[in-house]
Amino acid sequence: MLVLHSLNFPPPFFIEVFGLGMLSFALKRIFRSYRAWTFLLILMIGVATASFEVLTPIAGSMSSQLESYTKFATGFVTMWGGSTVGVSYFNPFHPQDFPGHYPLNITKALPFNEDNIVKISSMEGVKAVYRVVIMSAAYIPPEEEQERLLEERRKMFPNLPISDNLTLMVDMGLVGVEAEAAQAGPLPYANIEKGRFLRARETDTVVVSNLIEKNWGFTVGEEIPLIILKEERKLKIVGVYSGLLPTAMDPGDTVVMDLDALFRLLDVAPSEGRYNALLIGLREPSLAQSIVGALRRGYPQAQVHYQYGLAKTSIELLSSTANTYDLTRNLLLVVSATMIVLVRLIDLLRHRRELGLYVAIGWRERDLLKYMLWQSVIIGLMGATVGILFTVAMGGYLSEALIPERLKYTLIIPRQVPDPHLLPFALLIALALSTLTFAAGYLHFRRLTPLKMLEEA
Amino acid sequence: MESLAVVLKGVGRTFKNLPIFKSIDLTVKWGEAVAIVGPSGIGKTTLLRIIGTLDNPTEGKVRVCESDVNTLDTRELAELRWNCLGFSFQEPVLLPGLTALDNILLPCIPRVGPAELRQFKERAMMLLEALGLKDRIGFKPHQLSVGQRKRVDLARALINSPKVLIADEPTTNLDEESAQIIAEMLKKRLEEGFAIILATHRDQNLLSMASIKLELLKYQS
Repeated sequence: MLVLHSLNFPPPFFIEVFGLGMLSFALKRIFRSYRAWTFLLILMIGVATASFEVLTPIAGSMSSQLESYTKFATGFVTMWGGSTVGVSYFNPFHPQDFPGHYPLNITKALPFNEDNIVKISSMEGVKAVYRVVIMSAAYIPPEEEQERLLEERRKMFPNLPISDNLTLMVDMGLVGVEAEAAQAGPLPYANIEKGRFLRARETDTVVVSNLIEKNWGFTVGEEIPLIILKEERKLKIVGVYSGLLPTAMDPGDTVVMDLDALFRLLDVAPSEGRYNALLIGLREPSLAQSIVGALRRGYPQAQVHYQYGLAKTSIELLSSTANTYDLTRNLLLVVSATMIVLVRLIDLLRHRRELGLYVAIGWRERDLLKYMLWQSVIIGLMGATVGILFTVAMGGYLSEALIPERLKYTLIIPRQVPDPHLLPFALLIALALSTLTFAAGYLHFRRLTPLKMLEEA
Repeated sequence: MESLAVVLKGVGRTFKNLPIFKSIDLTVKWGEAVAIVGPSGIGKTTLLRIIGTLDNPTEGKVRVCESDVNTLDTRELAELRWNCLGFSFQEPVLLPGLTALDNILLPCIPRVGPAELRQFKERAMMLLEALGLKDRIGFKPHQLSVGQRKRVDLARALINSPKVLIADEPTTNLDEESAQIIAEMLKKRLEEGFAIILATHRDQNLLSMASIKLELLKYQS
């Protein structure tokens, strides 16, 4: 190597020139040879089959997982108290501070308590009720941000004297959810872009909206400081999401944590818990209207929505995507198969002279048959095998590349490799096509004299 | 009754209703050479192809190596071609992807096992050496001259030691050296008792070795 290096080998552009030379050689060979075309086409069949074997399960998996997320078969209902509450709303729950004294209109701000939940849970057709608290908490941006914010504030209110020493706080949404709600379905909008979702009973960890990442630069692995009950709490970010709750409930720049953990932070006993939103999973879609009606009548202060249409549309879209993949694959297979037969036939006709020579020099019919059959089979097998191996190798990459980044963390899509039945299936197609072509070629040549075959095609 | 290499009786061939030749009778004994002569387009190649079982006559009977060609099915014809006949084409028909040696071995490939193939390989090497192509064994057809290709084609016709060798203008358009080598090879075959039927224009070397000269004349009805 050293000697080669001292001789300045490879010379400049050697690799490029060599590579181009090889490529041009390969292309020339391919375009000149019908057998190479056949090989390429069969390889394409392998790739197409395997690719769609990868694609279809992705769409199918997305569809079925979305289905499980949204409980497509049952649908779900959201109940929303109508406003985001401040941290101070929870002060009444602190008996040591305000024993037995509720100065705020708590029932309006946090309309749901455990009694309501028990009542709703017992309604016919209700499968599960998940509690949600949507509130706001203060965030104090760092100094460099303070300057920018002050500047913005001065521009916004030019007549208002704003001191340089003012420390600005920003309201962020602080949402408590039951992590199980994500698993059970009624958190349909949770698109985890980075990291992961909360785990049940996990404390001091949060997921943040992508707006927080965009506006404030916090991301997975970092801690976000929030002022909760006058104390700065540093919460570890484990995920970034792009949507979690229906738009009406979504406070924007939001930090989401486990509901129990939030109550612990707020020093609220679970039995004292009140909630401003509920997510209700239903058993039967047919009961949805009556349940929604009953909930609206029973809780006139709440906004009750039946979240079914969106889920259904999404699922239908994904199902149709899976069907489209299937159809495209089948079409591609038919087109490729037809092309293979045609190219193979042209190839056989073009090699009529060669076959004529074999007859002329004493090859028996069975020798010719064997030769033609083997040639077809070998080309078929090689093409299919290389195509499939190529795609199996590419399968992981395809799975990664084809799933949008924002969906990767929400929908758990297993690494796709073509099904085990694919190889025999593709080989069978290749063999069937080869044999078909061979049979057609053979029937054609059988009628000819060696002389006719030896004539230029 | 004496065994005969080739017997033609009343053989004729028409092409698109136009007769090329008619009523040809020919008897070739073992160790005999026949030179078919005549101007271009007269039907020399067609007659050779009929004897070589590559084409069918429109009339008459063809008998080669004691087999009545007209009555043979494809399997029997293939056996006849392998066991008895060697055909050297006017324009050498070689497979471009194969080397000279592989082209020569082509007739044997489906017929013999690996051990026997080795023997045929040795024979092919001997033929190539005898034809002055020892150093061209691994060459592909496009790397060979016309004369060399013709010699490879002849070697292939000889690989299975055919009892009847049919050579279509084996020396035409060849340099003197190539023509000489081929003529020598054919002479040797004759001496070994095989029959040779060849078409030629006016190669004296070939004409001198032929015991029968069959001149084809333009057919006039």
